[in-house]
Amino acid sequence: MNNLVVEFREVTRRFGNVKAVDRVDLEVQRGAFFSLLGPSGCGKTTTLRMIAGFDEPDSGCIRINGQDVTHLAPFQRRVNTVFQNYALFPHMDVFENVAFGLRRRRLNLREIRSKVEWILGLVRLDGMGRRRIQQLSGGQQQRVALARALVNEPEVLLLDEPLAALDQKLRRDMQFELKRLQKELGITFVLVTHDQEEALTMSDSVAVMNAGRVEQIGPPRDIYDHPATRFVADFIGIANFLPVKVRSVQNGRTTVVLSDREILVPSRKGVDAGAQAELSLRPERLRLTRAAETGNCLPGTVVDSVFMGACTRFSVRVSEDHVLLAEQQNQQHGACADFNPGEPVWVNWGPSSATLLPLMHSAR
Amino acid sequence: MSEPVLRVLAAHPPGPGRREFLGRSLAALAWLGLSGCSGPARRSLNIFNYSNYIAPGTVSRFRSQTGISVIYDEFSSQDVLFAKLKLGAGYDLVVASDYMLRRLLRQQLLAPLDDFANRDGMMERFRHPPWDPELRFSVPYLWGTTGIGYNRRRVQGVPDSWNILWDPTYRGHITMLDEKRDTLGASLIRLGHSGNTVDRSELEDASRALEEQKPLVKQYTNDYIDGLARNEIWLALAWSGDVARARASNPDVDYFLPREGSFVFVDSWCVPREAPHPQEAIAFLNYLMQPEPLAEVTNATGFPSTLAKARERVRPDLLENPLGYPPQDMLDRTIFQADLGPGERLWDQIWGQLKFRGGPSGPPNPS
Amino acid sequence: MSAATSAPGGPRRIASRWVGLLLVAPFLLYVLTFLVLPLASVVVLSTHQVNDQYHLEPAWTLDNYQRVLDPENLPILLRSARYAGLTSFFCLLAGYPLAWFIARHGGRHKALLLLLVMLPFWTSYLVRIFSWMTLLQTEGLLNGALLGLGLIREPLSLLNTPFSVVLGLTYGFLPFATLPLYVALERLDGTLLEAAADLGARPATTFWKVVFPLSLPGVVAGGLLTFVPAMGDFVTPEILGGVDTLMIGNLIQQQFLASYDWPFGSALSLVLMGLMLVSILAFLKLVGSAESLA
Repeated sequence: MNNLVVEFREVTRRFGNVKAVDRVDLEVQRGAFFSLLGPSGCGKTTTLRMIAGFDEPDSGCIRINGQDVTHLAPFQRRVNTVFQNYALFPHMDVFENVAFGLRRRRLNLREIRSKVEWILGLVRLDGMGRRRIQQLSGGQQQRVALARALVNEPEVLLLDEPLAALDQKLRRDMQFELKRLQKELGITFVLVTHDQEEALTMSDSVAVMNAGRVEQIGPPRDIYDHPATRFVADFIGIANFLPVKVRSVQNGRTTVVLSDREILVPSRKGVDAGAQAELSLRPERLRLTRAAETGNCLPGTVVDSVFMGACTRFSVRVSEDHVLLAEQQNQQHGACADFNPGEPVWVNWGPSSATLLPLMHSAR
Repeated sequence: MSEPVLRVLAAHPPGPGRREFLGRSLAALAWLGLSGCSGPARRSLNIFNYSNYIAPGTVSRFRSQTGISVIYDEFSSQDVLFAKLKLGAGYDLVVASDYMLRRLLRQQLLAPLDDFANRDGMMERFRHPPWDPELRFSVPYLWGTTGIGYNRRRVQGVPDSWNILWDPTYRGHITMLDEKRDTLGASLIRLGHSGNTVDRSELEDASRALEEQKPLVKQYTNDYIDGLARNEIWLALAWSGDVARARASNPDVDYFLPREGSFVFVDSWCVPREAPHPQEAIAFLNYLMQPEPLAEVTNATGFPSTLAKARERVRPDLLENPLGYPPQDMLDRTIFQADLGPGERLWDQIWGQLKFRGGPSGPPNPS
Repeated sequence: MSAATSAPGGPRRIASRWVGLLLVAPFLLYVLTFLVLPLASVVVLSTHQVNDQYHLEPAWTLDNYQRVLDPENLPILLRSARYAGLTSFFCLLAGYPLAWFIARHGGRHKALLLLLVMLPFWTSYLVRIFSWMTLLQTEGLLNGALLGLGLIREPLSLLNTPFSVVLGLTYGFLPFATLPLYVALERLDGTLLEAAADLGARPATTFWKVVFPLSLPGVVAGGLLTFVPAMGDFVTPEILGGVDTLMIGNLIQQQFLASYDWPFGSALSLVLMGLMLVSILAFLKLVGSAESLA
C-alpha cells in the first residue's frame, strides 16, 4: 500500500451533455491539506461529492486508502464532510449532532461521551453540548459541523466551501483554526474553495480546476510561480500577458522576441523555436527604472498609479495594445516608487521571473 | 343542478329504487337551493317525490300540455320528506307513504283536494283507506308489498317463510331494509306478533331475533336492486317494485310474500297546507291519474298503480308475477303499516339500539 | 378612562378605537355568521324536546346530554375512534411515500402531481365510494383479479366489513394526509440526508433519525386532518359497511334524517365536538412535550 489516501483515475461525471468532471486524475497524500480551487462550475464540488459518495462517476475509478470505493454508498466510506451550509440536524442539540456518527458505529455511551467532550474541547465549544443548534452563532455552528465530522476520525475530511458564509475577520480565525486542527489530528483535509488566497495560504497542495479538467496540481508556490496554463496564471494572483515569438531554445533558456527585443526566459516543454507563445509576468516581479538596465527590459510610459498601502500599482503602456501592471514596494521616503503619469520608464525583470506559456486554443 | 346528475345515475341499469341512498343524498343537496324557485309571472309547480317513482316522460309531457313549469325534486326516505315539510320547504305536491300520511294528517299539515275529479276509477282496495276514508286529502298513486326478493339459482327449493332470512346457509348474502317499519315488522310477524305492535316486550323479542340474525346479514340497506341483479345478494327483504326492476335484468331473481303475512303499502299524492301553487298541483294530478300516464309509470318503476283501468296497458311480465299484481289470497295476508302514534318513539329507540349498539341490553334470549 | 381626564390625546385615542373596531368589524361579522350563530343554534336545539306529535318544544333541559352519556353509546364511540384511528394510520402510511416522491422527485412536475392527488375531489365523494363497492364486491374487480391469478379459490367477502369501511375512509381522506406531509418533506433540507449518510447512517436509520422527526409537524397535521373528518363520516360506513360497522356519524344522521330527534342529535354532535377538542389538545400537548424532549 502506498501513501495515497485519495486517488482518481480517469474519472468522468456527466450531467446531461455537460461533462462536470472530465477524465480527472488526482492523488492526495496522507496527512496533506489539499485544496480544489476553481471558479464556480469548474467541477470541484462534484469532485468532492464523488469522494464522499454523494455522486457516482460515469466512468473511471476512485480509491480511498487503496480500496476501490467507486460504487460504494456514503455510509460505507470512512470519509466525513463539512457542508457549506453546515447541514446540522436542527432537531438535535450540539451533543447529539456530534455523537450522530459515533452512535452509528454502536460505541457505548461512555466512549461516546468522552469522544464528544474531547472534540468539543478541541474546537473550543466546551460545555455547549446541550445547546440547541438555533441558539448558536454562525461561527459556532461551523465548529459543531467540524466537530461532528472530525470526531469520527475519518481517513479524509472533506470541506465544501466551509468559510464562505463567515465574515472576513471570522474567516481569518477559522483558517488558522482549520490549519491547527489538521496539524494536531494529522487527518487528511480536502478543501473545496473558489478563494485562491484561502487555497494558497492553507494548503500543502492545490489542484486548480477549470471546465471539468484539472489544469495543474502542485504546491501553492509552484502554482503561483510556474503556472502551467494561461488559465492558472490568470486565475491565481494577477498576471500580465504578452505575446512573443520563440527564436531559440538552448541550455534550459529560451530566447523570445518581444517588440523587437530579445528576452531570455526559462524554457518550457513543447514550446520550440519558431512557435508563437505567451509570456506571463507577475506585477510584483516587475521593477520600474528611469534608466535602461541590462537584462530583460521594455520601455514604456506610466499611465496611472494606485496607492495600495504596502505597494503602489503602476500601469505602464509598453505598446499600442499592451498595458502592464507593475507593483513597487513603498519605502519610507518614497524614493523608488515615485513615477508620475506620462513619465517614460523601463520595465525590468529577472530571467526566471517570467513564465513561458504555449498558445492554447482556449487562450485565443 | 341535480337533475342531470340524476339522469346520469338513472342511466345505469337497472337503476336505483325508490328509497335508495344516492337519491336521498342528492335530494339533501337539492334541499339547500330550493326555496324561492317559483316565479310569480309564470305558472309553476314544485313536486317532491321518491326517486325513480315516475316515468321518464311524465313531467315533460305535462309541461308541454299545460305550459306549467315544473321543479321536480326527489327523496328516498319518508323521514326526509317529513323533515322538509316541517321546515316549510315550499312544495306543492308530495308523495307520502301510508303511515307517514297518517302522521301528516294528524298534524294537519295537508290541504283538502276538493277540486280533484278522478276518484272513482280507483281500485276498491284503496278507495276508502282507514286514514282518509273519502280521499279528501290524498290521492293513492302506486302501491306494492314488502316481501322477499331472492335468487332462484342460489336458494334451494321454493321458499315460503320469513325463516329463510335466518338460514345460516346464506350467510353474507342476505340484506334487510334500512327501515324500522319493514325490518322490525318482518321480525315481529315471523314471531307471530302484529307488525304494528307497540308492546315493548314483543318489540324486544323481534329485535333480539334480528340481533341473532346479524352475523348472516350483509347490510341494512335500501340499495339492493343492483346486488340482486348481479347475484351478489341472494335474499333481500325488499319492496315488490324494486325486485321487479332487478328481475328485468336478471331473470333468476324472484319474489314471494311469506305465508306468515307481510305488509302492503300505498303511496299517495298530497298537497301541503302551505303549498304556494295548489291549483297547479291539482292540474298535475288530473293529468297523471289517468290510465295511460299511470301505466307508463308502472312499466318504468315496476310498481302497480291504484287505477284499475291502467292495468290493461301494463307490461305482461308484471301482470303474470306476484311482483306486479299479487293474487287476492296473497294480498289477504298483508296489512298496512299503521300509524304508531306515540309508540313510534319506542320503535325508534329499539331500532336505534339494534342498528348502533348491538341490540337490546341484557343477554340474548335463545328462543 | 374618559375623554375629559385624558387631555389632548383623549378624543383622538377614542376615535382611533372606533376606527379599530370598524376595521375588525368584517371579521367579527364573519365569525358571528359562520361560527357563533350556527353553533349557538345547535346548543339551543340540544335543550329542546320532541313531543309525541313530533313537535320541537323548547324545554331548557339537559336530558339529551344525559342520554348521550348513556354507557350504551360507548361501544359505537369506541368503534368510531378505532376506525378513525386506523384511517389516520393508513392515510399516513400510504401518504408518506406519495408525499416523499412528489416532494423529492417531483422536479418541475410537482404542481401537476399535487393536482393529481387532488383530482378525486373533482367528482362527488358518493360516486367514488360507490365505485369502491363495484371493486370490492364478490364478483368485483379485485376478487376477479385474485381468482384469475389463482391466489384465492373462493371470492373473499371484502364488502360490508370493517375492512371495507376503513379502506373507503382511507381512500377518501388520503389527500388530507398527503398535502401536509408534502409540505413538511418539501421543506426538508436535502443536505441533511447527505449529512446523515456521510456520518454512517444507512437509509433506514436516516429515515427514522432525521427525516421522520423533522416531518413530525406534517405527520401530526395529516393525522388530525384525517382523524377528525373520519370520526364524523357517515356516508362511507353506510355504503361500504355492514350491520355492525356503523359509526357515530350515522347515529347523528339517524337522529336528524330518520328519528326526527334533532335535540338528541344536537347534543350528540356537541359532545362529540367537545371530546375531539379535548383529545386533540391533549395529543398536541403530548407531541409538543415529546418534541422538546427530543
